[in-house]
Amino acid sequence: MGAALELAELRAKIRALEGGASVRRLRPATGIGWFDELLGGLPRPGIVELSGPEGSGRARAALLLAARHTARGEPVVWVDPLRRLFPPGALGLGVDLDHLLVVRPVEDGSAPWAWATEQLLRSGCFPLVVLDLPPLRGMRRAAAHGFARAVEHGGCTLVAITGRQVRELPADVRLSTGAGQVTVVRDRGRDPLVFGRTSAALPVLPAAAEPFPDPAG
Amino acid sequence: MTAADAPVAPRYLVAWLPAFRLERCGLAASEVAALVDEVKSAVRIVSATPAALELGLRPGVTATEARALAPDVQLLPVDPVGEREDRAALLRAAEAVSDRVVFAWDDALVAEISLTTSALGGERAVVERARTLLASFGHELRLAVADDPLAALGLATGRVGDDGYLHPPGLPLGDLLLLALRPSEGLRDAFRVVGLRTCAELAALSASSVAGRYGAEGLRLYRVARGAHVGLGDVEDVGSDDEIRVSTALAGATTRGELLFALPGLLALLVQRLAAQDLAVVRLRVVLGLDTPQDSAGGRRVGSIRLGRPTRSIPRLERAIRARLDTLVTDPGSELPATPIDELRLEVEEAAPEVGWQPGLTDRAEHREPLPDLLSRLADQLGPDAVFRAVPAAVWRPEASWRAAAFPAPTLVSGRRPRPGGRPDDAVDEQEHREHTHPLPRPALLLERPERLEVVVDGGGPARVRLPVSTLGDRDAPTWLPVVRRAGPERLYGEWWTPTVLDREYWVVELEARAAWIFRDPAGAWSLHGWFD
Repeated sequence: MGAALELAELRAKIRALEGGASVRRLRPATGIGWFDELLGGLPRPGIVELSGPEGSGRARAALLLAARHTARGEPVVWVDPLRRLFPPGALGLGVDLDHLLVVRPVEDGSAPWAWATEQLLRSGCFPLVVLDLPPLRGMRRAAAHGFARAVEHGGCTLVAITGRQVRELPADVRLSTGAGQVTVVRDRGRDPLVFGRTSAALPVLPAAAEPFPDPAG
Repeated sequence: MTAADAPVAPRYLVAWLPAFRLERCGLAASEVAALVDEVKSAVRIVSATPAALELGLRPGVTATEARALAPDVQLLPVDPVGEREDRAALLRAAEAVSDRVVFAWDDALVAEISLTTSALGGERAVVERARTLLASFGHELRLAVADDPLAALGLATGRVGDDGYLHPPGLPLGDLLLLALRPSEGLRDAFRVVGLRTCAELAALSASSVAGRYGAEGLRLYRVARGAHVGLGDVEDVGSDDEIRVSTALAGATTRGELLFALPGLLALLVQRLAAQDLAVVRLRVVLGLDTPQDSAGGRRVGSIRLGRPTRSIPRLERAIRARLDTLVTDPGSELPATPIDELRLEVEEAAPEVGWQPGLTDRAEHREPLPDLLSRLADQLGPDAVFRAVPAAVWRPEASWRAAAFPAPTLVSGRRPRPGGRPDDAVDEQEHREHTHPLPRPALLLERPERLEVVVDGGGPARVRLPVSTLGDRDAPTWLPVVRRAGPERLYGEWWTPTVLDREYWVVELEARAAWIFRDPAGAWSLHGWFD
C-alpha cells in the first residue's frame, strides 16, 4: 500500500510541475461485483481500455456499466463507428435505451469518430462515454492525448473497446478479456497486488440470459 | 451571458512587407530593377527597387520611358499567380499566431490576435513569434499592433525606427503622419490644401466638419486617428425587410484564415440586424461564393447550421460557423475548395424571439456545454442521422427491430414502460410480454451484414464452425472450431408478403469462450450475424 501511495504522490507532483490543474480522481463503485473487486470502482475522470477478441465479453462489460448509469437516470453515449451496437441486445442487459445516445459517424477518411468522442468527453454532459474503437494500424498520439485532456475537462469516464491493446491510448486501466476471464493488465491508480486479484471469471453469457440447456437436466 | 459568450475587443497585428513583390523575385535593393504590368493601355512600372527609384523609375512610368532613363534597368513582368501562392504560404505560416489572418493590402498581412494573445504569452511575444515565422521567408518586415488594422498599418509604416510597436488600446494615433494611413490621391490633396499633416490635427476637428468636407473616406480616417476600431469596412447588408443576410467580398481567399478574419465583422453586422428586430438565430446558412461559377456545384458551397438554442451571441455563432466551414471543404486533406473564394455570406434561415437563457441552480456547471448545443453541433458536423436514441420496433427481422429517434426522449409524454422483473400481472402487459420476449437472448453486437460461415451439423444443430476471414485477426488462420455449447433453434419467420421473406433459424453457439449468434436460411446456408461480445 505504501508504494502505491508514494507513486500516486509522485504522479501528483509531476502533474503540478507540468502546470496542469489538479484533478481529483475518484473510483465510485459500479455495483458490478467483479468490476469493483478488481478495480475498486470506475475511474472518474479516467480512461478504461477493454481489449480482447470479438465475442469475449468486452461490449457486455461496457453495457453493464451503461446499464448501471442509465438505471440512475444518467445519460450514456455509445460512439459506434463500426455501426454494430445492437440496441435489443443492450436492452437485454438492462440498459435503459431512453438514456443511451448512439453516435454513428460515417467514416470519410478523417476519423470523425475521434472528433465526436473528444467533443462528447469535453462537454461533461455524459458521465460515461463508450467508444467501440475501429481497428487501427496506429492511433494518432495527438488524438489519444486529446481524449485524456477531454476526459479531465469533462470529468467523465471513457471506456474504449478494442481488438488488441492500443499503446497510444493513455488508459488508466487496461482490462483484457478472453478465455472466459477478464484480467487487469494495468491499473495506474491502484496496485493490483494490494487487491490480491488480477482476474475474474467473465462467462460468455450472463447468467440471467443463459440459454444453454443444463447438462445435468 | 456567460464569460465564454462575452465578445473580446479586437486587436490587430500588421506585418508590413515593403518589398514583398520585389524580394519574391530575388531582386535586391541595390539592383536597378522594377516590376511592370499593363496599366492604362501601356506597360508601366508597378514596383521598383530603391536603386531604381533614385534614378526616377517610379510607379506609373512606362517601360519605354524607364529604358530611356536607365538603359540597364531590369524589367520583370508581374506574376499574379506566383504572388498569390506566396501570399498563401505567408498566411499559413502566420496562422501559428492567429487563425484570423488575411492579406488586406498587397504588401501587408493582418492578423486579429485577441483570442490567442494570452495563450502565447502576451502581445510582445506574439509580435516576436510572428517576426520569427515571417522572417524565415527572407522578407524585410515591420510590425505593429493596434485596435484597428489601418491604424496598425499606419504605425508599422509611419513610426520610423520603432519596429514592433504596441499601440495602447483606445488611444488616438497622435503625431502619426496622415499619409501613413494611405488616403486616396484626392483626399491627400485636400489635406495638403488646408495644411493637415498629422492624425492629431485631424482628430481635433469635429466629426460633422470632417464628414462634410472629406466624405466617408475622411470620416473613416478621422475615426481611426481618434483610436476607434473601424475595421476593413467591406461588410454589407444584402438582406431585405423580411430577410436577414450579410455578405463580404474576399477577393479570392485561398486559406481558412482569410475566411475566419472576415467572420467577426460579418457577425457584428448580422447581430446588429437581429437586435433591431429583437430576434435570435435558430438556423443559419453559410454560403461561399467561388471564383469560378461554372463548377459542378454552381459556383457556391452552402452549409446549414442549427443552433442548440436561439442565440445572437457572436462567439457562439462564430464557434458554430468555424465547425461548419470544415465540412464545406470539397477535397479531404485540402483546407478550402481549389477555386478561390470571392464572397462569404451569412443568411438567417430561421429566427426566434430573443428570450435569453438563465441557468438554474440545478443546471450543470457553467463551463460545461448545454446538451442541446452539443447535440446540434454533432448533428451539424456528422449529419442528422448520425446522432440518435434507439427505440425498439415491433419487427421480427433483427436488422429492423429498432429505429432511430431523437435524443433525449421526451419526458412530458412517455409511453408505458415494461415492469422491471417478475411475471406481469396485467393482461395487456402479459400479452406484450409474450409477444416481445425472445426465447434466446439477443447479442450485444450485430454485424452490419450477415457473413457466410461454414458449419458442420451434428444432431440437428451446429457442431463445428469455421469463422469468416473478415472476423479473424491478422495472425489468425481460419480453422474449424468446436461448438462447446449450443442453444436453439429460434425460428424467425415473417414478411411473407414481401420479396425478401424472413425465414431464419437462429442458434447461440459458444466457441472457445466466445459466443456467437448464427443462423441457417431455408437453403441450408449458415451466416454469422452477431457476437455476444
